[in-house]
Amino acid sequence: MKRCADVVIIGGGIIGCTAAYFLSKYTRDVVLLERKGIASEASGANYGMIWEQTRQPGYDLTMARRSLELYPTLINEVFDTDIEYEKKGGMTVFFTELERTAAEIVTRSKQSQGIPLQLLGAPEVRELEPALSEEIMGAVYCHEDAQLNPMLTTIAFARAARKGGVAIYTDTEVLSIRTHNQSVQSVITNRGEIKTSIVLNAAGSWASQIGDMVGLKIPVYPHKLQSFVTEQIPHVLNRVIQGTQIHRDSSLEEAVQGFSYTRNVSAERPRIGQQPFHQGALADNTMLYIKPTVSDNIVCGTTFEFVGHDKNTSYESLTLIAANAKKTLPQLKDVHIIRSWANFDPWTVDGIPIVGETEIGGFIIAAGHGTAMSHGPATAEALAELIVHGKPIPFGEQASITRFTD
Amino acid sequence: MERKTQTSEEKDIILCRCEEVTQKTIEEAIGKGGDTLDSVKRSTRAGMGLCQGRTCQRLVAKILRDKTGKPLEALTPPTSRPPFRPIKLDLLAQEGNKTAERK
Ligand SMILES: Cc1cc2nc3c(=O)[nH]c(=O)nc-3n(C[C@H](O)[C@H](O)[C@H](O)COP(=O)(O)OP(=O)(O)OC[C@H]3O[C@@H](n4cnc5c(N)ncnc54)[C@H](O)[C@@H]3O)c2cc1C
Ligand code: FES
Repeated sequence: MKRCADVVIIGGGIIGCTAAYFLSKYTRDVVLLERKGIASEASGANYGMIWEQTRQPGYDLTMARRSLELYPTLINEVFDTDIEYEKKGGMTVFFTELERTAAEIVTRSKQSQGIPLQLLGAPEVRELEPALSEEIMGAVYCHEDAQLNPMLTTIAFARAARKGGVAIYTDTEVLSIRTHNQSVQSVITNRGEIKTSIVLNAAGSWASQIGDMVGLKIPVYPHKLQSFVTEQIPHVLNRVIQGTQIHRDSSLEEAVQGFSYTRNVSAERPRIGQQPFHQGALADNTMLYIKPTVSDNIVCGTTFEFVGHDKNTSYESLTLIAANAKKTLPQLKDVHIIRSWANFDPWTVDGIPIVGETEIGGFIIAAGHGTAMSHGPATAEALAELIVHGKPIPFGEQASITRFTD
Repeated sequence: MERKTQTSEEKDIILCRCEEVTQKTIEEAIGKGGDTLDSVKRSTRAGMGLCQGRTCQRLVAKILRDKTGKPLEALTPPTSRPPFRPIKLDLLAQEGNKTAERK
């Protein structure tokens, strides 16, 4: 193992691997440390949606858009394997009048932010996806939205980084970080110590544990999502389908928030140590995702929980997911489920990741991403510019850790 | 299910994308006596790559099953997550609807 490096990246998920690749364009002296394998956590367990429709204006939308621009070039010029990227448009379906009213409000407001949303009626939905339930009233649709295979994408970045000279060590766990005068000096792993003046904390939902190693509180929490996958079935679905988190008894305001992914924290600024909301019954925290894979297995999700890093799947969650999936795509009822899993969305209170420098010299964070498949390439491009050229991150103040303390 | 006979081009398919191991190489390793995931891994490097076999292990296991007749469960390490057997989605969905209504 190398004993010193310009930059040490902690974490071999999409954020660590994209950063490794973009940094490799400027320096060959980058090390990436991953305690398991590449894409062995959230970056290998997600739905691979690269969506613009759910983004908030500012940092979030800028990163999502830039990545949508970058992916086709990366695919044509950099990756040596297929990542199953398809730009098929993204669809959020709904079943009730309340949801329709919320959808109208959200569509108008996002259109005014320049996001090309369309409101589809039932016939248009079934023209695009004939197998969907007749009970579906309509959908919000964005033709810019794309999807990909998250595991293959993360591996493709890791391979490109390795070709560019990055040393990637899997099965290598970071145990502590040495600092001197509030600046990073070295990283200590189960396989030895690496001297460096720059550490990139890309440990996803474990980012706060890495923060503890330098005495920095990083308010990123593991948000547990459960999923299952069905056997292969004849092709019935063309694209990822998303539902809403709106209930019968939601107010219109809640419904609009549920649709637009804004979180109700605007009144109160998020603070360090602010705990995730207690969320009540699992049945109130389900949201539909149906993703057809290239091999025509169907991935279904999900439920949301804050239970730490517990990877067990539960019967209750799987039944709720199944009920949602059947309601949306009735043909699924006769299909077999073959496997289930859980993983963790790295969660922050305002839904924006924590990206940028910190009060510890050379300690940079890029963690807390709810949608890093979408943000990853653009984030990595911006991080490389920051690390190599000192260039500020676009809308960086929105993603800075200082927003929790200043 | 009926299995198509594969053309030689299909056998050049890369099964382990991390280590660039083709289906043909894996079949050759099995032909030379490799009859477990571990032995195939040692002789071909399939499964030793960046993702530690998360992408290719299942595919290699299926080839092993076809060539050796061993059942998949005997080839892949057991997982502790439900469902333990394939289960019809509707069985779960009916239960899920009850939970959603009870609340
Ligand atoms: C079910 C589900 C569906 C999702 N769907 C989407 C989607 O459709 N689109 C989208 O954009 N996003 C989606 N997400 C979110 C997406 O998965 C995450 O944003 C993304 O994977 C986070 O990437 P990451 O690199 O920050 O974290 P991770 O992929 O979790 O990587 C962090 C890595 O750090 C390693 N690590 C931790 N501690 C240490 C240590 N001490 N030493 C060494 N290594 C360490 C871990 O082993 C891990 O591999 C979904 C998430 C889930 C759970
Ligand atoms: S695909 Fe074989 S080890 Fe990753």
